[in-house]
Amino acid sequence: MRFRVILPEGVVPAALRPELAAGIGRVYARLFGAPAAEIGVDWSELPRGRFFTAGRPSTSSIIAGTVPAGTSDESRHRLLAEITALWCETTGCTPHEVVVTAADARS
Amino acid sequence: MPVYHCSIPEQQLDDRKREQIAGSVTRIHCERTGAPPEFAHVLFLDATGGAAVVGSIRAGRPAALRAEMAAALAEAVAKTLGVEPGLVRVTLLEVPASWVMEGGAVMPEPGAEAEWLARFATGRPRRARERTRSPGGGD
Repeated sequence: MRFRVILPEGVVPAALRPELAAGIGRVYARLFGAPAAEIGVDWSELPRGRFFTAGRPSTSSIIAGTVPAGTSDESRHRLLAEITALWCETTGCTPHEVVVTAADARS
Repeated sequence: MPVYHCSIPEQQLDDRKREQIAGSVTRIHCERTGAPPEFAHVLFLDATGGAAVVGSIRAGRPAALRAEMAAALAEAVAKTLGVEPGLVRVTLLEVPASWVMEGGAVMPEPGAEAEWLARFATGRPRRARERTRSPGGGD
């Protein structure tokens, strides 16, 4: 199971990435029972001028992952909320700078 | 959400054109859906071949609206690139609102935004509020 993070250059220091990736792994493992070691994060940092929000240079992070098909809204929303909180606490951003998605995994 | 990925060869773009496309995509989406511009994200990826725009938008909007949006997006991107609209491929992917959290809240279903928008209006970042109030800013 892998999450993909897309963010503009310079928004999240590289030094924080291991902590964020480990945090996502812990949250996912606790909620869905998967071994944390099997949960990875792929980072896509876009150069300046290639990520816009509201038509202006962005400071947002997009974190995209999947959950098992058939997951309840309650579990899915708990994952979304905990990753949002993790991101804000670790990076100092606001919730308005975090987009988290959890799609159904393809069987 | 929405998130628009623009895959366009680097040689067709410069900073001004990226800004122009980002502004057009944001305006087209927000004018037709009523979404606050602060939720519209536009990303640029290098690509080989032709220009393509893939937008992930909330599911549940009428097919006619999606078709109108796709046509307007193709026309706007083509105009900036100086090519025919038929050379810009636009795909709109529908994503269930309940799969997405932004601004610390699960996205509302289309047509059920009133309460969510009211909460957003009071909870949005100060800089966003100031930007929207400033002349020519925001949308």
